[in-house]
Order: sequence, then C-alpha cells, then structure tokens
Amino acid sequence: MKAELQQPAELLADLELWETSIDEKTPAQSVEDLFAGAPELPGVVVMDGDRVAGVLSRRAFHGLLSRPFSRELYLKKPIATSVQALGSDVPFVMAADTPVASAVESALARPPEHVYEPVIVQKEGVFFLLQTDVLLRAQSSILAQANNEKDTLLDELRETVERLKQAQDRLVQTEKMAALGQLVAGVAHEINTPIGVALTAASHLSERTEAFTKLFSSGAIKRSDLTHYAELAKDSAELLQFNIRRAAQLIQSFKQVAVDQASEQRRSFDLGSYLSQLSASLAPEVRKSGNTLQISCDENIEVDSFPGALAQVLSNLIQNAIVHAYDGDHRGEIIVTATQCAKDVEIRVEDQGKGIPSEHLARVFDPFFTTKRGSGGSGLGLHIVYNIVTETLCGRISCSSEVGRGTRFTVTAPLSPLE
Amino acid sequence: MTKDTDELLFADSEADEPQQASAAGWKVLIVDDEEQIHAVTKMVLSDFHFRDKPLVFLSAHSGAQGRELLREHPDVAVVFLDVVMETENAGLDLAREIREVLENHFVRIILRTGQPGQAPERRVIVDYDINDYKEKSELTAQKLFSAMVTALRSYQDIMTIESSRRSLEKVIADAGIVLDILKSP
Repeated sequence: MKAELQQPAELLADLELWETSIDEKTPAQSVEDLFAGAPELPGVVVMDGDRVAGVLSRRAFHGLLSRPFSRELYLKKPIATSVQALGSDVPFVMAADTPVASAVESALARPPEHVYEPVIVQKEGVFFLLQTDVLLRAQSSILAQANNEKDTLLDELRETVERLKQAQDRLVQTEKMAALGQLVAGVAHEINTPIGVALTAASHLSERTEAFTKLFSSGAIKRSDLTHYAELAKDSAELLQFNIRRAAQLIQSFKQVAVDQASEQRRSFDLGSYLSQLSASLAPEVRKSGNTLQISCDENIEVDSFPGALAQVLSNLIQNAIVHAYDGDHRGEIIVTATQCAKDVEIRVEDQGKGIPSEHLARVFDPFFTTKRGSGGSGLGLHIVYNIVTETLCGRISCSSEVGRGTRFTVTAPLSPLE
Repeated sequence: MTKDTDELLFADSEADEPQQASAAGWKVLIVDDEEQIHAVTKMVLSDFHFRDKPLVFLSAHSGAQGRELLREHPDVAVVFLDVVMETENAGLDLAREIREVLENHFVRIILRTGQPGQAPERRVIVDYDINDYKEKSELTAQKLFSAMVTALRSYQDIMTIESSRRSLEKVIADAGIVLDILKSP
C-alpha cells in the first residue's frame, strides 16, 4: 500500500541542483545578462579558480542592484565585489551525501539574513547550487512520509488489537460453551444409571406380573409364589422410586445450572441450596478425577445476583483445582466455603494440592497464561473467573498459595450487586 | 385346582433350595460403583437357572476389587463390568487385565456402560476381548436375561472344549508313555 507513494529524496545529491558557476572576476554586468537570459536560474556559484568564493542568488543580486546608485557602483566591477557587499563570500558548502535532515538543520543555523540564500553542494569535485526552499520542501515531504507511515502503522496496530480482542472474546465464549458441554456430558452419564436401573426394575416387574397373572388364572398358585411375588413387587417398587427420584433430582439441578449458565439472568436465590444443586452437577467430574468435593454454606444467605455467573466461577475454580492442584498422583479434597460478611458474601475454594509457585501467582488471572499449554490448557479458565467476578458479580477475587501446601481462591461479592 | 378365593400351598422343600444354590451355581461377578446396579441385577436374576444351576453373585465396587475377586475365584463364569469407576477407563483396564495378566480366557465379560460416548461400542468390542456390550439405559429384564443365557451357554461350551482338550492332552501324554513302554524291549 506504500508502493505507490514516491520515496522522498533523502540525500542532497537527489535534489534539484544547478550547475552554473562563474569566475569571481567576471564583471557583474555579464552576470546580470546571464540572469536575464535564463529566467529559471536561481543563482550562480562564484569561483576563485578551484575554490568557492561565494554564492550569488538572483534575489540577493537584484536586491543589491535596486539600491540607489548600485548599478553604477557594482555592474562594472567584478562580481566578487557584489558578493562581498552582500556578505555571501563565506561559502556554505555541504557534501552531496549529506542527509536532507541534517542539511536543513545547518542551513537554518545560518545568520538570519542568509537563511534563505542557496547552499552549495559539492559533488565529485564540482560545486552546485541548491535552493533553500527546495531543501525545505524535501524535508517536509520526508516528514509527511514519516507521518503517513506512522498513521498506517497505528491503523494496523489498532486493527490487530481489535482482531486479537475479537479472537479473545470468541475463545472466552468457546470456553464457556465447552464448560456447558462438559456439564451436559457429566449429567448424561449420571442420569443413565438411575434410568437404566429403573428400566430394568420396571421391565422385570412387568414380566413377573404377567407370569404371576398366568399362574393365578391357571389356579396352580402356591403360597410361596404369592409371597415371592409380593416381595419382588416391593423390591422393584423401592428400586423404581429411589432411582426415579434420583433422576428427577439430577434433572432439576442440571436444568437450573444449565439454564443459568446459558442465560445471564439475575434472580434471587438461597445460596446454600443453590450450591448443593451445583455440587450435584459437578460431582461426576470431581468423582471421575478421584477427588472429593465438600461444600459448606451458612444458612439463609439470600442472594440477588447472577447464578449462572456464580456457577461458572465455581465450576472453573473447581476444575482448576482438579487439573492443576491435583495433577499426577495427588488426590485430595476441594473445599468450598461460603459465609456472609455484612452485605457481602465470601466464597472460598481451597485445595491441599501442589500449590502455585510465587512467580506464577501474580499471573494466574492473565489471559492465556497457562502451565499446561501442551496438554490442552487454554489459559482462559481463571481469566474468565476474574472477568465474571469483577464485571458480572461486581466483586473481587484473590489467590493465595503455598507450594506443597495448597491454594485458596477467595471471591468476595455483594449480596446484591448494583445494576 | 378349585377356584377358591383362598390360596393353595405347597410349603415343602423350599428351604433347601438356596443352600443348593450356593453349593453349585454359576459364579457371576458384578463390578460397578453404583450400589443400585448391584441391587437390580441381583433382583432380576434372583431365580435365574441355567442347566438347573442357579447363580451365585459376587460384588465388587471398583476395578481393583473386581481384580481381587477374580484372582480368588478363577471359576467366575460371567462378569458384568461397568466402564467408568475409579478412573474413566477402570472397566476397560480390568477387561484387558483379565485376559492378559490373569490369563483368564474363559470368563465371559459383559460390558455395561452408562456413558456410551466414553467407550464407543465399535471401538471397545474390537479393541478389548469382551463378549457383549450393553448400555445401562436400555437393559430391560428380558435383555439382561438373554445376555445371561447367551454368556453362560458359551462359557459352558468353552469349558467343555477346554476339558476335552485337557483329556486329549492326557491321552496323548499317556499314549507316549505306552509307546515308550512298548518300544523298550
């Protein structure tokens, strides 16, 4: 995109140079004729043999001649006299490979009356004249170019930051959905068992009832058949009840958690019973990992907040303990404690796992910080927790840890965050 | 019999039956971390008989317990095996161990999973030497019954082949001795 922009000149050699020089002994009249014959010519280099004697610009020369009696005074004399009169006999010579920027700097450092005079550029032993305005224009186009480049870079940078932010948002969203997916899988497994048991028991009961009915109508029934059947009916019914109730409970708690997790609804709820529902839906995951989960909560903590957000926070923290605190051969307890402190609720999630080294502790909430990149860690779990706690729940979260002893996350959030 | 409102009773010999059962039954091992599964399996198969022999149940609540019981009872005929227990693959690990470590190629293994996604039927039945695959949520009493009969029948066939193989081995070994005797002048 920068290809169409012409690269501005960077050295004096690249600028428009005039190669007109005259000897200092040339009569001023001939110089005036020269200027008259070449209206474009901005000035001449005045030479004394191989040495530069000075510079004479058209403007300064005409200025000199317009003074009273000047024509009579100077025109007949060698041009050197005019140059001396103008004070332009101290030649300002710069090498052709001088960068424009430093040339501008030294050109502008000349005495104020000479600031606009042309400068002399020496290129391979030849002296050229360079107009100061050309030099200044070159400098300004360099600056403009640099400015353009800066703007383009800034735009690109802004675009990149925006893209990164979008990618991060998408990842956060994906992570949320993945957590929901895990929950679904866990509960599906958990529910298959009671449903399966109920199905087996119900089909058994129905078969036996059919057989019993046949036996009964044939009249060949024994007392033992009846007691046997009654016992079987009782056992089946007990199994059915127990397992169907369990399935119902699971569905109930799952529904609540899943709905809350998917939507971001605010509602009033009793923290204790919500936590035990949550614990039911997290139990399979925890059990599978070989750890145990213990949740305790003060009674009657009424919260008016975002249960889905809270569920996500706790399930991420618990997941984090499973994956990080108790990796390898470590197994242990994950303890969740909720207490009310004035208008806040404080929830602690503790483990007795391997702990977080102090150099990692400050970074645990950073996005994409993970010690498990190779094994599928995204580095977003705790970042999501941090965002939800600070933004949705209007609270704060802290983490303390001791290597080899365990880690504690403390979430403090208002019972009823302001809208 | 007459259609009395009252029942007819033959109260004899019932007390003897359970004793017979434990003496000579088909040993069935249930490996599952869910107590309910043990309860319902035992209930459904409580008066199951195959070739006039009842079932004798052994219960394990983890893969490790299952392994111990199989070591103690190499004559278990059928194992009902859960997949996800102390670990995600505890059941599959046990299945492999039964064949490769305990070198028990006779016992019939019926995998019962509550989470088919965890152990897809196609992969499991190819990769592991198991004999049947059931999803817990589809196991009616009838299916459980059929699975049990099928498993016991093939167990019995295998044991018959095994014992003929053994007697054949013995015959060959004996024949060798006879030949040796005959050869020696």
